[in-house]
Amino acid sequence: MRVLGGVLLMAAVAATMAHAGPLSFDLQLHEPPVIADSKAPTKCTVTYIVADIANNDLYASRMRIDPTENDAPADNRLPCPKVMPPRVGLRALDTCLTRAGEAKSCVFADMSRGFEREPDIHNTSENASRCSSDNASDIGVACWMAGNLSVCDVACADTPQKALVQAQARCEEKQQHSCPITATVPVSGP
Amino acid sequence: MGLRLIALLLILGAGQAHAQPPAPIAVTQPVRPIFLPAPVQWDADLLRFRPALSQTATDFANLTGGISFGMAPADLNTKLPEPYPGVSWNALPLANEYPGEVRYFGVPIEAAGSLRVGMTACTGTGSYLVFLFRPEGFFRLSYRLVPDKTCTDTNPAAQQIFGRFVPMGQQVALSVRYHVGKTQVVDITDATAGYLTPIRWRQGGN
Repeated sequence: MRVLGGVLLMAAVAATMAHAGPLSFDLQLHEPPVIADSKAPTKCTVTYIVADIANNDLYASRMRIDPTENDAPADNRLPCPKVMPPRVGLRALDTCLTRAGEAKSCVFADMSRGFEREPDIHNTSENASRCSSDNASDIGVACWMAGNLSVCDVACADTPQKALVQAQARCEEKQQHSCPITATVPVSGP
Repeated sequence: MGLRLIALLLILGAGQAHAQPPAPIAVTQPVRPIFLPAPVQWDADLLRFRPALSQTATDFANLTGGISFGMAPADLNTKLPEPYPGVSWNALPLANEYPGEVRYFGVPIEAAGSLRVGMTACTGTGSYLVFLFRPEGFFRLSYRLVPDKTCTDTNPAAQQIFGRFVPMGQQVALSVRYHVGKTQVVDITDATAGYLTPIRWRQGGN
């Protein structure tokens, strides 16, 4: 009886293995889903808008910054550095430089009046081309077309609509032109 | 009966009012796309940075329908919806603009399958996609979007394609966009391609 039971058990195991085919390395050790803490304060992101003036392309270059031990959130947002070193802006510009056909076509997107006559990075503002997540949730751009060249300015706000409106107001005041071409993205990103 | 009907109409009316989508944001037209490169993570002192996202060759293959850098021409060819006949290393023409031995073959953009990456804007009928290979394998995907009478501007199509590859970290793939004459070009290059990376297409080259 015991022998018969053993044979039946082995047959059952063999049948199961035959049915299962090659051994799977999936040990069913599924990792639990990552649960984001929706109440955690937003970490600092500084987003720069840079432009490739040869293609009239805009890039939102996001710089995430690790918090320091002493950082305390305000309005559930961790603070960003008060001063951004130029190297961070240059790294933002790199996102265009490495993708554009020509390096000289990459500039910051907040442009001076008369940029269309001298389309050069020196006629753009690094400071005004960025928004920090501790002060704004959206960054907007508004532009006008000077022939084939897009001339733009940038603004920060707490809604996409306000960012567009403020960018248009800034562009129209600086450029003394109607600035009908607009774009906006969240500062912190998806 | 009358009261019940009025109550029913009120409930339906309230339901419809509740179901209405939120008012769309009044955006002034036209809206320009903003490309979103992968974010950069800086330390708290703003001295050192690294990619904020961990991306690998698998992310690239997911976007291209299984095509990966380093593939041999014949292997890549089998991934295409309409494989190019008789693909082998020696049978492929040389791409003259590159130093050393670089070979290529191309397919019409209409036959590119998943490599159209969801593009909806028009492309001229002469638009095509070129696969470039070094002896080590596939290293560049080059979209050449040529306008014609039915599609006089291929810039929107180039923007759509480019916009799909820009978020790919530069440790995986380098995306570049330029134009040669009226042809819009989007090149996606293996991050390990080294000295081949800065070379651009010259019309008449391939």
